[in-house]
Amino acid sequence: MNTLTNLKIGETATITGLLAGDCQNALLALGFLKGKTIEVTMRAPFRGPIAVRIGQTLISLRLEEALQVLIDTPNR
Amino acid sequence: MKKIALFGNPNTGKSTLFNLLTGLNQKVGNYSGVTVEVKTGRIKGALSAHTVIDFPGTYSVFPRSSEEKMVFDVLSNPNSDSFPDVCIVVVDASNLERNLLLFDQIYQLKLPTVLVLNMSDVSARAGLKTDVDKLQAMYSNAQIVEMNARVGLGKNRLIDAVENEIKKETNKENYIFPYGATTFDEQDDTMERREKIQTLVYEVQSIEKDNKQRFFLDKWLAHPILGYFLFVLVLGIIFQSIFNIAAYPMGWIEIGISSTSSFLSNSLPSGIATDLLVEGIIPGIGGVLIFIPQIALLFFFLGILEETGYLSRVIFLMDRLMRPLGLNGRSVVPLISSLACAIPGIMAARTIANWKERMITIFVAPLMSCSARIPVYTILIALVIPDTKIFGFINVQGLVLLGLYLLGLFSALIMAFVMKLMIKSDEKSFLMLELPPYRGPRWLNVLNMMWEKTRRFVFDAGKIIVALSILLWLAASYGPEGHVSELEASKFGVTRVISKTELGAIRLENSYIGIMGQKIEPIIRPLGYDWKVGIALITSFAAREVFVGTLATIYSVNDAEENQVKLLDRMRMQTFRDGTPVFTMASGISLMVFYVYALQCMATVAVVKRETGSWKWPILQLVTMGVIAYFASLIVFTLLK
Repeated sequence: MNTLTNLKIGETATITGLLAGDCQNALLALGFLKGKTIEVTMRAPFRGPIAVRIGQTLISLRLEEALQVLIDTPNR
Repeated sequence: MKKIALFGNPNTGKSTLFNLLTGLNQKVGNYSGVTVEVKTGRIKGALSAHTVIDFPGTYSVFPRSSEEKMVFDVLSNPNSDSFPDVCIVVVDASNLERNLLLFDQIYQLKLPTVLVLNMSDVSARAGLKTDVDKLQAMYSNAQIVEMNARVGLGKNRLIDAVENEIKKETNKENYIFPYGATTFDEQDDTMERREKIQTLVYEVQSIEKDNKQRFFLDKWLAHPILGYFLFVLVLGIIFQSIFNIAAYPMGWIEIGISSTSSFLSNSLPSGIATDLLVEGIIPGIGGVLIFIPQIALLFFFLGILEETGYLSRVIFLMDRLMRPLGLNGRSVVPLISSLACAIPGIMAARTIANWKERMITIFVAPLMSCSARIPVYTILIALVIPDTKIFGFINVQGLVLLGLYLLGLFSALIMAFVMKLMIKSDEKSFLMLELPPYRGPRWLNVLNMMWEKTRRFVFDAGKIIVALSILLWLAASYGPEGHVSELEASKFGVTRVISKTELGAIRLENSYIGIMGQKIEPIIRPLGYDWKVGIALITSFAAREVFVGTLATIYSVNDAEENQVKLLDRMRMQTFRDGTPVFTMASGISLMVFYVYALQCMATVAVVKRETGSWKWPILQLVTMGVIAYFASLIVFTLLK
């Protein structure tokens, strides 16, 4: 299963779903929707948070939060 | 009077809109048991009879964070005091797809609702065109208003719309709030709504060009290495400016207070009432006013950082570094604020949703060196640290001051780590945070934040500082023998005519506090202090800098500010009964270390009580920091003696 954590900076992918978990709803409210294109734009050092772009919005989330986001094969 | 509620996602310009509508006609509301800040205000003009309530920014009506719980509680209970008669939902027009979720949820409640499509200039620059008529057709019961709150465009249109909506009566009997029902499936509902909105936005908005350049500063400001350097640089510049600029107004305040004091003591008939006013109340008020310049400036700069979007990058960069310490990226702002004053810092911890991380942040915030410690450090450093340079250019006195700041900082971090191990909590911690596009600050918002935080300091901390100053003045002027007057001074072995300042010293020595100071001498003697220092330790519970003023009174120096040299001379002359000097390098450093740790600030204790909702935390904090202060000073004194 491919999750958002596998995406490298500059790569894009399509969101295929969200794993059930504590932050599923928060992710939905922030715009992590099935079919949306997502791009990783930044990574904080020492496996810190990542920043992802969905449409016009830049969102920062921790790796364990990113693990809940399922994606298809990254476009390099 | 009806209630007009403002709802919206974070970063939609909701606060800007609120400021635009109400100007300075606003206040932070009191919601018992709720730590989230809710502002209320009034609109000038036709709507002035009604109250506008600015609810905190939320992404949906479901209660996931403390902000969302607040909104959920109000909307789910039509009998609530804050239940709105008109809802204004503010959405960022350039981010409709995400923003419409909250609106769609509120729309379904069938309350009179106005939808504000905000930031039309940003969305136009982002290349977005919105078909408002189409959107209106889909939400036919709501009024849609296009606005640019930032430049004040569309204010009158909004007021007209609200005027229309406010005439409608809400039938609270038939009000249905579906989202709270136990059978309600939050996830399915959100998913369904999302899909509906996605199609809807596809129909009403067309994208013409991309807007990546709004984030281009991230290349440097959020850079994995450079970003940290720039953050330290930004902090350095801010604190440098705060100290340099604040020095001027602080000087004026000092002059103002001392001339008011001397004017009153010369023009009023001498007596207890005058003494209370001149020695108790006015210095108490002065002790509050003197901090205003630094606090106002700090929040001016923090306001700019928040407005431009930089602060969320700081949270992004710092989160990973703070987490091993039981803190969170959001702890950075409270800790930085505490460098000016722990009170706004502790209040800023409200943005931390996770209970454990918030408690740790509040607990360690007072260890950051606040500005009230500076006068204490300054006088002690001047007293016991030689004014020499090492390697020809590093000033030793400056180095010691820096060392005290770092000691506070590292102690805060270590304390946080220890607390992380000690507090048990299963609550998950989240970061998920929007990094808004960079933009110029809206000065009205910056000034509003500065005003609000300063006002909170003056009223929250101020009350306590002034009240305690009066109380301490009473305890310092009266003793078992009553109020020592000039005639009675002979009782204490004084036979000649004495000056007012000398009388003050005799009065203090024979007062309740003076006796208390002598009683605690055996306890503080191992730290290197005599009973006179003990007196100053007690009085400085009002605010740390009172330490200096009390020493001036004890040593009969009439004005500590003007006579620092004289005060230093008197301090050097102090000896214990066996003739050894009180202030040595060992006892001086021990005293500085004591002030690094001890929670010598009753205003902080009161604010922690309010913010945590119980006496447990402030008392724990007071005792823990006191015990650490005692033993750290004991160790320092024993080693250096």
